[in-house]
Formats: sequence, C-alpha cells, structure tokens
Amino acid sequence: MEPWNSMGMVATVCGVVERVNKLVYVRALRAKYKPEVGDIVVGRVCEVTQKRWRLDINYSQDAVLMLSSMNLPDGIQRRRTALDELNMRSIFKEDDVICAEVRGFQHDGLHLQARSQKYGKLERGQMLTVPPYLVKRRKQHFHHLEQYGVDLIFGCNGFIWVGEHVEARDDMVEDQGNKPDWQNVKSNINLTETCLLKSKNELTLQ
Amino acid sequence: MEYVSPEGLRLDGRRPMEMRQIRAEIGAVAKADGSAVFEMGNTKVIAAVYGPREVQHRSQQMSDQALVRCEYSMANFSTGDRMRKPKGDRRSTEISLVIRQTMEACILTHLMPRSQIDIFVQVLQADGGTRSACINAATLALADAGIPLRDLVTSCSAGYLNSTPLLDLNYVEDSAGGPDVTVGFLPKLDKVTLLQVQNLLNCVILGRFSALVVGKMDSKLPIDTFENVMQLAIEGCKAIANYIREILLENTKQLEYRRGL
Repeated sequence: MEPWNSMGMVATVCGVVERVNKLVYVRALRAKYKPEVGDIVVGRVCEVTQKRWRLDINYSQDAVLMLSSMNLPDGIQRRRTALDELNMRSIFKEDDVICAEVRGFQHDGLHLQARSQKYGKLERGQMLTVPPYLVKRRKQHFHHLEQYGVDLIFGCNGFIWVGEHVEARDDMVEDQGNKPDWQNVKSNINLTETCLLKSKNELTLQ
Repeated sequence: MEYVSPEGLRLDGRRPMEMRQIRAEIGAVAKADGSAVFEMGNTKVIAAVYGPREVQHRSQQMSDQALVRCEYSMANFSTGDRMRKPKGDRRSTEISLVIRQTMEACILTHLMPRSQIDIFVQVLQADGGTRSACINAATLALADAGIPLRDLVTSCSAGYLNSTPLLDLNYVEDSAGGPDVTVGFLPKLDKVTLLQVQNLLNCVILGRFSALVVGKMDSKLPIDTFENVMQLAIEGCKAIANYIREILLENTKQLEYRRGL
C-alpha cells in the first residue's frame, strides 16, 4: 500500500481488504504464491544445473534445491563429490514432480530442502494446480485416504499431488510384495482429482 | 469532407464530446496470470499478462527490479483488408515500446526483483484508438494478475476536425489528417503519463512524461486549442477509469463469492 498525503491510503493491488488489529492490508485474489519458511511445496523440475535443481513452484522466480539439501540415494551422510554432481540426473531429472520444504531466502533466490523421508520425488500419480490462496496453512499437509489407497499432498503454492500411497520406508529394508492393484489405485486417483477440481471453485480447501 | 455536421453530429452519430461505448471483460485467457478484453466502439483488443515469473534470458535479469516486456500485434483479420504482416513492422514495434514504457512507469517493479512480466496485447478489431484500448486492456490484465501498480493507467484519444475538438476518434476521423492526441492518465494521482501527438506541426510540450512521442507533422494549432483537446482526452480517461474500477470491483466480488466468503 502506498501512502498519499492528500487522499489517504491507496492500494496497489486489486483485492480484498483485510484487517488484523491495526494492520490493514489488501490481499490480491489471483496473485502468485508467497513463500514462508517451513512451507511444504510441490514443484516441477525445470532445470538441472551445477550442484542444484531449479523447480517451478508458481512463484516469481524458480526455487532452488541444492544437491547438499537432498539425501543421497545410499543414505550415507557425506560430502558431495564431483561424481555426485554428475549423477544428479539419476536422482531427479527435468519434469519430475518433487515435494520439498521451504528453507529460506538466499541471495540468489528461494531455497528448498528435502532432507526427510517424506520429501523427494513423487511418482505414480498426478499433480494439479489451484490458486494458492485456496490452500490454507495447517499442521498437516500430507493426507492418506485409506479407503482408496491414495496419498494427498497439499502444497502451499497451490500445487496438489494425488498419487499412489507410499509407506514411509527405510532405504535399507527390501521392498515388500502385496502392492494394491495399480488400475484400481489409478481410478481412485482420477476420482479424487475430479472432486478436488470441482471443489476448487466453490469451497476453501482445508 | 465534413466530419462534424452543422447540427453538431459526427459521422457515426455521436456528439463531439461523446465517447464510444466501452465494454470490458476480465479473465478471457484461462492460462494467463491475468487477462482482459477491452472494447471501445468497434475496436476490440485482448491483453494477456504472464508474471512475475523467472526471466527467460538470464543475461537480461535485473537484481533489483522486474523486467517488463510488451508485445503488440494486430490479428490479420482486424482491419478491413487482411494484413500481411501482423507483427514486426515499424508501427507495431513503436506501439509495443510505448505501451511498455507506460506500463513500466506504473508497475512497482522493485517489489519483484529478478523476475519478468510479459504483456501481450493483440488487436482483434481495429477501428481507431487501438493504442488506447491496448493500454486500458493491459491495465485490467495487470490488475487481474495481482501485480502491484501505482495507479490504473487509462488512455483515450482526442482530435481536432472542422474546428471542433472531438473525443475518441474512430478510424475514419483518425485518418482524416487532423492533429490528434493520445493521452495516458493516472486518475488517482492526477498525472499524465503518456502524451502522443500526431499530425501537428511545431508542437512544443513543456513538462515531464514517461513516454512522449511526436509523430508526423501536418497542421498548426494554437496552444490553447491544443490544451482544450488534451483536456478533453483527460476527461475521457477519467470516465474510462470509473468504468474500469467498477469492472474490477465486480470481478473481485465474484471471485470472493466463489471462494465462499
């Protein structure tokens, strides 16, 4: 908001006026995502460069995920070597969908981190976009619909992931058998996605 | 040729101080961050805004402000005869530059460093005043995209034919060869941000504008007549600003209602 002496306050964006105690601000309705530290976001890799991945997260710049903010596939904590850098594409390549957390603003842009098991590459599912203001910040952004075997991740940037349920797994343990039928899961994913898209214009997503 | 009849009616039946009918619509392009369609009489223009987003050419990135790019083009079917080269010709490049400078002056670019805002404007039907309609459409599209602006930029043209100042010229009146003026105006700040004069010889303008272009020179005009014409255009801009504000209010209410408040 810009103050002009002769006529009081004038807003700089078109939107809804909100008041919190003495703070008055105007919230734009269709603006881009405004990141805050600790937000869970879902993004798509658009570039693999030196020691980092650049992700598109519906922000005014691309977010950066450093190689050092990512757990290595073998799970060992060690210094990243030149070989690790060359093998970056084996971890994430262009157009992969990734879940990460906002680490903070650095001099060269927004940095993300994906150090925990619940973050990382998202496979076997779909990503859909809604306006960012519809996704409220809550304690839980990861949801599991047991009835359908579907995982839901509500990214604060308005990107929502609907995919097959993945157990939080330990890399050391072997993959168990008994996976649910993929066709079934896929139809459940489509169903969930249609419901979300229908509600996007009518309700606030919690 | 008589552009104003003795009864005071113009070729399309308007009074000299009457503007054409305006109509605006927000959200025409679903994929764009902000978009709008703006009509002034038979002139119809569509604007789409993308941004702020990552700069595509890293070398052009500015660390303290956003880069604003603008492209103006006319659809082949917009004029009477099908156009051979809709963009890249001199007129389009000039108008792109003018619109870019006008919008850049009013976007708060320092709030979005290292990013890029693209404004694409295309003329669907051309009947005079395309540049004004483009600026108005671009303003609406920027407001729709939630990009912070100093003020709404509205634009209108005015001319002087048969010794009468005329507001909002259509194509026939524009090509008559009389002097005309396109004004870009910031209503709340009460400042002129664009002044483009055509077909006027020896015009000396004092003052500071963010974009000032002087075109072909053909006729002479006493300074107070010129001031009248410019004032008329400013009044037209104020009327358009009221309409734009109404449209934005209506649109905001619609979006809030659908959000469930």
